[in-house]
Amino acid sequence: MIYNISHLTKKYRKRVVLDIKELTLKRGRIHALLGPNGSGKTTLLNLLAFLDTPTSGTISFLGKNIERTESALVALRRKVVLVDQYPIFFSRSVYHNLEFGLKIRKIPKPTRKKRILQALELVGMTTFSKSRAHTLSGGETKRAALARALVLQPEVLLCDEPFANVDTENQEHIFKILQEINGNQKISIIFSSHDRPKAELLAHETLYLNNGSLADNRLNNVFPSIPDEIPGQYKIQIAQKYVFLKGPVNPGGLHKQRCCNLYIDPEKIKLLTHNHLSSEPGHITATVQEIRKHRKGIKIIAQSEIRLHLHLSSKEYRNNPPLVGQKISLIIAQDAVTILPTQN
Amino acid sequence: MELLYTQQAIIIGQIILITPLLTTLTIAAVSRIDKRYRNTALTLGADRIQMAMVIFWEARFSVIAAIIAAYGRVIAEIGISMMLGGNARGFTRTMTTAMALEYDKGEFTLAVALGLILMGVAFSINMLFHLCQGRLRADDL
Repeated sequence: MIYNISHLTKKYRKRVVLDIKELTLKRGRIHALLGPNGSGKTTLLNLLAFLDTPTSGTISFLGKNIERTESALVALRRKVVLVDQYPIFFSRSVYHNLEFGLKIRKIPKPTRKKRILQALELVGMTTFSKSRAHTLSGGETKRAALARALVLQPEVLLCDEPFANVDTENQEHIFKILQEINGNQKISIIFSSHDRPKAELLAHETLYLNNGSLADNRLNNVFPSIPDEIPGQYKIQIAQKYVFLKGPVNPGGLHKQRCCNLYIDPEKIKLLTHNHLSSEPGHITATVQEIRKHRKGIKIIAQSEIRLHLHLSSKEYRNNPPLVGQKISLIIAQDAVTILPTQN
Repeated sequence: MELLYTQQAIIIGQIILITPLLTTLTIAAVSRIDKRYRNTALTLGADRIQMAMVIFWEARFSVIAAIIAAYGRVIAEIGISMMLGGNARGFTRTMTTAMALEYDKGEFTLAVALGLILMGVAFSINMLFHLCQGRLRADDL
């Protein structure tokens, strides 16, 4: 394993932004960190990059507990590189930016040059070597930032939202680079993202953060909602429309009219053959958008007012195989809905 | 200490005068630098000194501007030069004390001429700064 986290918390003033009981990240794997804005993804990445100090708890790296001395931290940071969501470049050329980390590691000049050119080639930016870093476009900046990290041959590459704010072409390019360096150079990658399908495709393991805590790998089917006036009924507002669901009655710690996150278990959503549903809470008509293999079963992504993920066993799927584009009826029973813990 | 009415006394006085100004302007320049420079330098493996050098480099134009502002303040200063230097001819007479003296003597033309020279010096220094700034930007590549 590469990281082992135990009872890790991070507070800003009195606000708890991160609270992770236990987490182990394996070496040589790609881990995706998912979760809504403000769920603590960037904070966790900063802690993993040794750029920030936790309020309490421990992080061990490669089986060793971290010493918080300046020299120990510098040594650790030379094994882990974080690529920021909005990478910033020193006001010099792309080449000089890539050279910075190598220079401070006292790598000889010919080796520096060779490694820089290799890194630029990997991200497809050889021609930008002499360009001023500030003149690069958003996608080029992201790729150049990846090259600046990769030239250092780190053991772990941390990427904060690598697919955000770039066009589809650059997203694909970054996706392939990350896949390639993990496959060929065995660099462990931990990245945060809001792009669930991409994250699922790229990562070996996905972690879902909600209000600073790990949410049992609940990757999808999490929706902000408000408890309705009827006990045990919740409403999810999408633009001007509401989706009503049945859920736990009087859950502990939940105040009336207080926003909470609902999690719908994809295994417990019932798929019906007929399309005549009542307007009861939890009865939804949706359109199939995607069907793919998932572990030993089938995953269906269906779109109604909300985007739902369903997991079916192969047998269930064979009995009632929907097609992409087909309207389906879904029943979300009360026991399929849980309320994710929130922090004050 | 026998420092009074010496050039050293003027220098020490001027340093004491501009240190707070220079410090304030430099701190303002450095604190305006994006925090990401600090984190980027650290994550690329820099220690504290190397990180400080990066920040200083990024703030270089503001730091030079602070130096120029402090220089402008010093060359136009008269109180310290007069009190600690004594305005001794050929020894501790500065442009500003010479101007004050000529004004007191009623030599307004000479006083104004000295003032214009002083303005010219300040202007040239500013021009030089702007030229250097352009050159440094071009040398970034």
